[in-house]
Amino acid sequence: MSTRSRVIVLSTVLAVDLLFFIIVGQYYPEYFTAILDWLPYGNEVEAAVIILSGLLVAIISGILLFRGLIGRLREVLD
Amino acid sequence: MSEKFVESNQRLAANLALGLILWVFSVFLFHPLMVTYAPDWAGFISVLLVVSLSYYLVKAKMSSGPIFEYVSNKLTVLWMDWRKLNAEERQTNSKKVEKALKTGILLLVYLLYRPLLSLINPALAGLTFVLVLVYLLKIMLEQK
Repeated sequence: MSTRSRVIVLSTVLAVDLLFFIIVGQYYPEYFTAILDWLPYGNEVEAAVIILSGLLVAIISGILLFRGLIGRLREVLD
Repeated sequence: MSEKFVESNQRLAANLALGLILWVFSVFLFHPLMVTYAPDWAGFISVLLVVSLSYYLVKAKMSSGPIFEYVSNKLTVLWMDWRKLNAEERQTNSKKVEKALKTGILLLVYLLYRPLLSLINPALAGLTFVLVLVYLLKIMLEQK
């Protein structure tokens, strides 16, 4: 995968992840609660796992995106 | 500027940027969500975030090289030009600028940790603030 397509994929993943948690988590909490009610286990554990996985996805994609952008910048400068 | 100096600055900037990514995502978005939907887990997640943030800050500190002295010297020259001071006063002014810079960095690091620490336990943030104040007093009062 070229650097450019990697940057596009990672920024899309990051944007979708952040938009999901901003829109559903903060502005429409009733939908987030509905998703938690729909899942079979206790609400709080599910919420913690979902939010933690969202945070991990955001951090990992953010870090990889940053590294990709730095790599692209080095390619351009060289 | 030597190539080694530039390289250490690049590593410092990369580690600080990675720490900042972690901090921004967690403090502005995911931590408030965790407090709202799973408050019992917020403390545990805060501990994980404190550890990861410390990892990047320590890595940044290890790779920083002589950047602190460089910035301190530059700021001293700017300060002396601005205040139109004599060259003989350079030594004392250099120490003052160094202390001010250390104080600023320490307060900034404390402010980075504060929201995470207060979610583990509000008393922990207060205790850290007291320790930071004591260290700041030590920096300000030390003679050399």
